[in-house]
Amino acid sequence: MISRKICMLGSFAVGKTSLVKRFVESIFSEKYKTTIGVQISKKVVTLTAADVQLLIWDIEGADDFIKMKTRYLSGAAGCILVVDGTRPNTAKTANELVELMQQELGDKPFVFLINKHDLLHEWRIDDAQLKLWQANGWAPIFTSAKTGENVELAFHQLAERTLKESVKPT
Amino acid sequence: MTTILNQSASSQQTDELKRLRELVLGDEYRDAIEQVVDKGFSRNVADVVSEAIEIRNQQDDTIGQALAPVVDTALKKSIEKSPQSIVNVIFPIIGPSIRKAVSSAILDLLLSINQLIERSVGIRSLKWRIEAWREGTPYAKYILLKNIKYRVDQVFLIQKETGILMASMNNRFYQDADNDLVSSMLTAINDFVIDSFNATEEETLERIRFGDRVIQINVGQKVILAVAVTGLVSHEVKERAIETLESIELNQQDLIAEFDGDTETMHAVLPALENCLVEKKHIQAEKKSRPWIAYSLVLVGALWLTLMGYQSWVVNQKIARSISFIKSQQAVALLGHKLESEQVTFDLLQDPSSGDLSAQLEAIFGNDYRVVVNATYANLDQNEVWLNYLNNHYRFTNKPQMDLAEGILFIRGEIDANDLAKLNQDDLVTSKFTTIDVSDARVVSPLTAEQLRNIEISKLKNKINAVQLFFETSKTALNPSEQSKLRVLAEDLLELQRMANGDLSILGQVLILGFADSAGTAQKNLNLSEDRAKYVSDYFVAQGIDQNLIVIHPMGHVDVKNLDAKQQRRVTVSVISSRSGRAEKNIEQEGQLDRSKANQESERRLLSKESEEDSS
Ligand SMILES: Nc1nc2c(ncn2[C@@H]2O[C@H](COP(=O)(O)OP(=O)(O)O)[C@@H](O)[C@H]2O)c(=O)[nH]1
Ligand SMILES: [Mg+2]
Repeated sequence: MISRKICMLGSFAVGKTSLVKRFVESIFSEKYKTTIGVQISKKVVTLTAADVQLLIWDIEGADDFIKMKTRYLSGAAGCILVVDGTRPNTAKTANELVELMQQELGDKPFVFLINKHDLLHEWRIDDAQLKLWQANGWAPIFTSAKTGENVELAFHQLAERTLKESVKPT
Repeated sequence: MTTILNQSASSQQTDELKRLRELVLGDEYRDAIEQVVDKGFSRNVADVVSEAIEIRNQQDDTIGQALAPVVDTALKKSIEKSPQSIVNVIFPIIGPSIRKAVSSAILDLLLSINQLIERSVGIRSLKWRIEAWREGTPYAKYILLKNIKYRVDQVFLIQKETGILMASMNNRFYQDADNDLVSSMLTAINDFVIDSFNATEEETLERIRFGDRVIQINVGQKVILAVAVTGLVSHEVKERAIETLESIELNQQDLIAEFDGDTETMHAVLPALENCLVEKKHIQAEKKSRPWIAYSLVLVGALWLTLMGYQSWVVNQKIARSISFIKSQQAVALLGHKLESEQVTFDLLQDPSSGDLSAQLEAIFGNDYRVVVNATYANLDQNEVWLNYLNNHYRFTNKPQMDLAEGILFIRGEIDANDLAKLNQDDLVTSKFTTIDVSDARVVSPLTAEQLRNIEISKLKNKINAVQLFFETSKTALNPSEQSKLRVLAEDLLELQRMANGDLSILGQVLILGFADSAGTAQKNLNLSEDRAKYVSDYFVAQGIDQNLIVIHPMGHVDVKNLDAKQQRRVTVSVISSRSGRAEKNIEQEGQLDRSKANQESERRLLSKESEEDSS
């Protein structure tokens, strides 16, 4: 089987861990937990071309990211970039994370998620912002780790895109 | 909390925090929260705490400064506990078969063997003992294993860059182990160790041990070869693994270079991996002295360096705790301490009136280390004893002359202001001398009254922040002995409030955190921890602490492995203050908003209700 390492990227508490949990176990846990280290989960995704085993690296805790970025990203075939729709500020971080990712990995695919879409009454992403992203080719996917909205889709999309890329180490 | 004396030392750390903050947080938060407050929304949700911290962070460094030590210890604790917690993640995957193997019968056997062995002394057992120590195995287990066997259960070939498993072989005991996950985790652990101990790429982790299983990791150019062994990692195993790694890297260069995440392409290496699955029923029980003992001493010594780094971290924590304990004692001074392989030595200078601290220090170290306390009891009324102590302990920069007379320490000549400040904070000195007379001395760069006051304040803050109040199981009120701690704590806080006299740069906030142990549901623990924090808060308010200064926050159960359940059921109190001038200005502005008390109260509630709302 073909394996791919992918990384979760995004500010603290945007829902990275919850998304992974949702995808891997289909359970949403309300319990907020930040530990230090990396949590690795795996899931096999069945695509038309082949089955791909995703090894999903989720870094725990915001603090560690700076320190561990290189190693954490090393060899990743793609990333899931997550923004919190109720905290527009997390988008700013996303820009920097993408820069960082490109620095470390070159031009690798990523899917861009705006998470917590279930919290509609607190939604703070405006049209102008959306248009800007779309113009940049970031094509956001609205997700909710709580309801499961588009979670499967997001991981599948990334799996599909990583399959097209060669991940031979340089 | 940071004292004025070590502020510069922490400035680099502050820089890093700042960078981190800049990356994670921007300034939109600030606008957003201001809007929310203006509109008078009283019920916002989820991230109010982070946003409140956010907005403050945009204004100044206060929170960073105030929390730095807290974050520091938390980080240290996490790192201290994390290797184990990673092991805990792997364990369930490959653990079941281990548990089968180590039946309770074997455990009993181990115990009795241990007792037998403990009594026997001899060159042979000494030698084994040393080897067992080097291997990190309890002696009895070592003997058992030495007489029984070792067995390589799994071999992993891992792509170094990605942590992806390229190929693996299991023996019959491990047919359904999840090798893909283990492989990624091994890589992550390796990364973690490199980061945590500032090791270089070359000094990677060599071994991970849990129970009587060891994963031996060999890092090559492009691939990692890891073998999971039950029993001891013998030289045979180790050498075979290294040889296999080298031959694979040499002979399968193309396969390795072409590897595209597809395990199917790696079949060619399987025979080589299988070759590593060695099993030995009996290792020769005893051998005459062999040259490899000397050889292995060097080798194993190098291998263990990384793990020793971790162990010494744990020990250092304990030493730090011991030192602060010693410092909290009356009429006792720590002259020095020394750490040897299985022993810690504390050199103390004690007044005959003070008690023996051995028992308490032993309690800190548990069974892992022998604690030796070399107490020099000296009649501290004798001038020579004092002069000796002061000169040796302080190594004064300017060699002042000192004279002693009933409760007064006279200093003549020149004394450095820092030395003087330290003297003033030395519990041993202040317990014997009520006055340090410097009227005949020249104090170089003398401390201003302001600075002296700051020293007093920071001493008081440190004292307050060090207190932890412990609760009994599912209780939200304190028992009498903890109550008396609370009483003292409130007195100290009142004193600080009096000294601050409304100056928020001294006493800006009293943050009360409540914690619960692991028993019960998360929701119950959250409520429990909140009630505990409230109990403390109510007492403070009743004693006259300004309610507006108090922020309570329920933490629920926070999983800290090193703490026993009693220590988990706690409330901590931290004094948070702002130091920079800019911070004070901001506080004034905030004051002008002149929010009603009700408004503030609801905000406070919001701050402390974050998690509850989150899960409703
Ligand atoms: N309502 C809602 N809450 C979410 C969602 N995703 C995550 N959360 C909550 O947001 C908080 C942070 O989530 P977490 O997955 O730990 O974030 P991480 O730091 O990015 O890993 C937790 O309290 C989650 O319960 C979502 O889609 N909807
Ligand atoms: Mg997370």
